[in-house]
Amino acid sequence: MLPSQLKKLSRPLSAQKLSAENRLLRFQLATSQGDLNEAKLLLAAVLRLVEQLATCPPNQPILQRALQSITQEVSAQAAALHIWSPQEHCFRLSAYHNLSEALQQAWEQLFVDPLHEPIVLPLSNGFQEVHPVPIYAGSEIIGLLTACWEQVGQSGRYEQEFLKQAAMLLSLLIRGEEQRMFPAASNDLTPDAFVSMLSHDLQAPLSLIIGYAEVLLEGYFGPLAEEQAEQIRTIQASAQRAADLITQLSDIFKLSQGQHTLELAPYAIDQLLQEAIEKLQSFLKDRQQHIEISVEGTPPPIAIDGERIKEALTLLLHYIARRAPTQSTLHVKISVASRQDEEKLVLTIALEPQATLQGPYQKTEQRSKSLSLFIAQTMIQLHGGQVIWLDPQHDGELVRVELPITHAS
Amino acid sequence: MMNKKILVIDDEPELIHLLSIFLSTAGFEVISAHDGPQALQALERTSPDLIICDMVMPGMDGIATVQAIRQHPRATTLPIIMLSARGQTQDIEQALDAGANDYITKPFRGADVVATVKKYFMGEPVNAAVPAEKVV
Repeated sequence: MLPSQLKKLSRPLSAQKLSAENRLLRFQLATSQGDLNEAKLLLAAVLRLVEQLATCPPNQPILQRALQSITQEVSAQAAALHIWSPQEHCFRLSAYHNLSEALQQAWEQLFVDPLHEPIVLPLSNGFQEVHPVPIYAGSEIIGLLTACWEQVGQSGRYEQEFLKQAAMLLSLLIRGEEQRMFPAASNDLTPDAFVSMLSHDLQAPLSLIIGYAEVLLEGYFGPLAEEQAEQIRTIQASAQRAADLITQLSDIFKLSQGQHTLELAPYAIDQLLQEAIEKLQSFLKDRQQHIEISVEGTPPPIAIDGERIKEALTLLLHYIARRAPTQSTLHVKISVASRQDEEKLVLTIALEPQATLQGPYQKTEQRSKSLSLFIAQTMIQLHGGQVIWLDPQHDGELVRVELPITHAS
Repeated sequence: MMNKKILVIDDEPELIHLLSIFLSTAGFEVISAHDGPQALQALERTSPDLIICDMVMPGMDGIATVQAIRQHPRATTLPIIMLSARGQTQDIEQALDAGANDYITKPFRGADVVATVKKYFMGEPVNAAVPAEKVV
């Protein structure tokens, strides 16, 4: 599945606007997930489901018959079985578990935007009509239950009700299996709670380090020699940097979860860039480095969260300056580029000629080891922009930051 | 004029000690409690002029503590400042809704803590340094 197709699928679509192509893509996505172990787990869950359903008095005769007639199929993709409906129509029941994140999002969009009718697809195994039902764990879709009919129009109210009940029971069974297999998952620690815990438990000791450093530097317990004070300032600055990273990490997590929102307002990027450089002055001075800004044309103000973009630029420039030679100069060119009918504001960061960055920075795996860079890039992506790393041989240009221009009024 | 009494509620003794250094040097008397129930007892025994309360504490958390304090007849108008790690903005909103007046984010600078506290005693003189921390 191409990323562009996934992006397309993750957009909300009304049921009426869904094209046959989109429906097909969604279905293919569902059938391409899972592995043999998951399939076995699901099969066990489905069998237990059928056993449970078979004990339900209202549908007992039908389900007992279904149980006797089960054709077990374990494929590499899912657990499947055949069941006969009261109208004597055969339908194939399949369950899919551990969907990819992108697929989960696509299905969540689909079911937020309800699609009640079955999907008509000419499948290779002779089935024509597909009815997908999400399997929930709380509000999260963790899998799909699908039923396929041989003929269009065979699915009726009974089958749809059966699917709903089956999906509900299956979600309980799957969650039970997960908790049995992965006991650590049973303490209900959500990602949000984990980030809050991480933030609090790391910020608390850092607060003490920073605070006691201040106590010593301010001379609460007597004067310090200049060299002692210098070491304590280093402790304080390092702890502050760690605390800032934790705060920023927590912030981008909450932004991506929708718990925090970007505070967009019109900003002149050259001004923000200048402020970011100001924040690095002490670091640049120690390394005898300079950062020069040049502006091409007259870029318009752009609608961004000024404080957050400033932090992202500071982290990005700090990352590059740390790897640039001492006594070197970084050049940042601000320009506007039009691409695919979209105007973008571009910051191109380059080293002076003949200078190169130290270390294999150009390798993605090296860059992925930097938390500060991860935060900077994610923040820019959350603004709809991107950070593009360039071939260092190309005119000394290292990186290009692109931000979409939303004309700010 | 008597010293202004600040009740600091935090489950970490080191943090109470640190705040005590900043506040006592600025002329405030510091009393402390390590959790919500102890804070309510302190409120009974003493009459603090301002409370600093940590957000995350085992058992009764900061929000529940502030709500309980606000029920006390002596504390209906008492200034309460929450201490919170940055990034817990939603919690801060909850704390303000629960009755807190202000908040300080961790990590904090001593000067900022003192300035925030002094804001609530504008125009009232505060004595010079007093002995640090008296645990209730």
